[in-house]
Amino acid sequence: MLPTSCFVPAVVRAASLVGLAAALNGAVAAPSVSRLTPPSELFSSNNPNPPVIARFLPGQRFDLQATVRLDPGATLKSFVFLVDGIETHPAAATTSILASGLSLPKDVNAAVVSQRAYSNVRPGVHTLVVHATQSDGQTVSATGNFEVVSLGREAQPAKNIIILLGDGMGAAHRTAARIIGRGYAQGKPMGRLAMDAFPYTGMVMTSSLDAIVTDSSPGMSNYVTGNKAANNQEGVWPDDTVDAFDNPRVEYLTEFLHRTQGKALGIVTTADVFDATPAAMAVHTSNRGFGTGIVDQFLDDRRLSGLSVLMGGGRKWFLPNGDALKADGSREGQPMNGSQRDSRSDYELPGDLVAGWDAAPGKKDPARDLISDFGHAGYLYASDRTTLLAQAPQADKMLGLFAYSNMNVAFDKIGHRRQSSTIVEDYGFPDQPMLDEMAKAALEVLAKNKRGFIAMIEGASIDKQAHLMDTDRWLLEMIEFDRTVQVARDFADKHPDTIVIVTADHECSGAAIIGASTKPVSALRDATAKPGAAEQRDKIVGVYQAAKFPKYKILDDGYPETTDVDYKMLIGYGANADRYETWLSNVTPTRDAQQPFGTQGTLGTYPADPAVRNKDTGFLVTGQVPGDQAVHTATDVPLSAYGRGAQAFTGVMDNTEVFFKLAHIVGVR
Amino acid sequence: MNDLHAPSLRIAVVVPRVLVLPCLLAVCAFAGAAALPDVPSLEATPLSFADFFKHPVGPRGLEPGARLLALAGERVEIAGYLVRRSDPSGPLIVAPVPVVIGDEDESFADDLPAGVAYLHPVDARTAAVLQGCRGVLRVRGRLDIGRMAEDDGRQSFVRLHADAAQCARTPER
Repeated sequence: MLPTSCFVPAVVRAASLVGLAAALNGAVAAPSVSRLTPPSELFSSNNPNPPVIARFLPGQRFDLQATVRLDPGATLKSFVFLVDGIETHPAAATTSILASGLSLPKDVNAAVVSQRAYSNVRPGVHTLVVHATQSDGQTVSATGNFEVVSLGREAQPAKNIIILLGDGMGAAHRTAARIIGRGYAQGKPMGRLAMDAFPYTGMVMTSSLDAIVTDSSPGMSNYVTGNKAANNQEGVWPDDTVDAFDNPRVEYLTEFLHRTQGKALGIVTTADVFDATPAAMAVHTSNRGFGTGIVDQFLDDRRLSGLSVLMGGGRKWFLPNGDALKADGSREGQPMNGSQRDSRSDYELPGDLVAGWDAAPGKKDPARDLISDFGHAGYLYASDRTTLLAQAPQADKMLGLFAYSNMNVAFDKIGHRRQSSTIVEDYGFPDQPMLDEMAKAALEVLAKNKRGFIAMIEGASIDKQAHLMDTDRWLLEMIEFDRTVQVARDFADKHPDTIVIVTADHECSGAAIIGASTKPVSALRDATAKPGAAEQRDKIVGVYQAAKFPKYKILDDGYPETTDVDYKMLIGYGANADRYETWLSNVTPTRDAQQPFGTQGTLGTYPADPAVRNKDTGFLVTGQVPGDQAVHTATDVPLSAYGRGAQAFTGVMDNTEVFFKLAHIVGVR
Repeated sequence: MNDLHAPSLRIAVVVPRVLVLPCLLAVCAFAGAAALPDVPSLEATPLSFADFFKHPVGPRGLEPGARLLALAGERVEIAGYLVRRSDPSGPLIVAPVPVVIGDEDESFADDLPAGVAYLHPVDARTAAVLQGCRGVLRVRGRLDIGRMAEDDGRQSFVRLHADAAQCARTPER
């Protein structure tokens, strides 16, 4: 007689084999959700008590979105979002299912489902669930959460908000500006910077959604949306589509306050106006480099943002550009006007986004004459300082484009005004305003809006020059920026219903005031003949009491006569790339690029980049980071506040919390 | 008495004139310069950045200069600074001032002047010279003007199809 096991019925044997095969092949196929937006730690982790990531004002609009991974060959049949167990009932045409144009691997079958411009007014933490149904009837769900923040009543709301943004400005940058701009004696500063005199100061944590070290896109966006954005992205969350302008949006403070309170928006920067910081006040995109679409949206969505003033560099995006080739293949006749407009970086929005946000649909139109379009929309146009000062008094909307790309830095603008430098002329835009002049004109225009305004005024090249480890140039950027802070304070003194904050998006370069030279500047110059640490570091760098108190002479224009003074302050960098250091300012070139090659003039010795700059005259300071430039750091940055509601800005706060404080101060409940 | 200099003098006297200029160029070569090929002696008209567009720039866009337009298609020589990029694989650009571009935190919000020339080397030798260049250089080639989309996403308006180049600085040691 055989053992019982040998007589297992055939049907059982077959079922066992199938089950075994399934077990060997893994779980039975089923759809899954790989992304749920807004982001939540509840969805992303198994943390039983997760912190709430996404937070909103009552009534602030934001998109709901999910990426559903489908079985091979399947499609998505339907989806629904539920908040606190109740379906959201989106308005007509504000939802979509997108199964193409995804940025996922080609072998992944997925669909991105969206509901645009959702909002919730009930304070508290809310559960967000997405239910998706696959074409074969299988369903999948995922759960996340978000919070609607309860704001108390503000008894005396402010009408105006001024955000002064020193890009890359950390505590060391501020201190260095005080040393150079005010001086010290027996341990006491001989004066305070304008930003020092703001009575309330806190510290801000600056990390982005995806890294401890942010870039300028989320660095600004986080302040004015109340939510974390990923690096390179502004006013949106990440998604799984290729399109850079269809990402799930979160409403900017500017849009919210224009919609609910009728406030106007002013953006002033020394950078190209499409750059991350100015764009992250009004434009929604996952690619900060898409200049054409960004500047187009400034104008096209002015009904949403209330944009009334836009000033800075970046004229190259506003000039019309034809197609690359004519039908006959020739380029003859195409405008050689310097336009950088391009279809590739332009925008066209999907229907659900247009319907949900009442946003302009956009158009790929590189031939657009945007300066003229701003004019048709009622903006007075200023192309230089002279026209700016002439136009501002009669403008209620203004466009100022003072440079082809970034504006020249203060060091070179002042050199031009003192007729000691020609670099501004070399760039072709000799009549550029200083940032404080731009700010004064902008505030004059914005103040005409009876319902108030939000202004963001950026000193952009503190960061850019710190990246280059060009100490003298970022020091003068700081002086220019602080003079702008004074303009804002003067405005607030005349308009007490104004809150002014001075802050930074992040710190740049790990700048540190290491001490001062123990030798006069002539010795620094002499030492360049014997480059090396022995001469230029060991015999020159004075630390502790050897640093004493460097003294700089400030001229009537408010800027130092020179930064190359005897016993000058010395700056080191904790986030630096390799550089050769002489401790001397980097000379500006003469206009001799056209001189015969081979002369022993400035042309032959001017530094091309920090790694090579001063290579034959400076000592090597080995960097911690690869490449040629210093980088951002994750260090907290100081924020100082003045005016109505300023007392809210003390302690250590996340940059997203600043959004809620500002909203509270202007009376959002 | 032997005149130690006499033989040299006699040698100098008998150096054929055709070799005098190359000898002088060799003597005048920049200190530390690598053994770069001589710039071909084909004629090239010097073109300065100041000739690219009218200066100062007016209230709208750039306007090409008369000299730039007149030299379109001709062989020209430009002396300037090779733009330094964080991503060295990008297109080559020569500018009137030293510029560094391409930091991750910058995108196209850069410090490039409006008047720059993109360099399109016509052969591997010239490409190698340009790729190794740091800072000041002299470059010759056919001038090509008009709008064109470059690989870095920018639009160029002035291009040099470079067939010869010489750098003031050696490649990085």
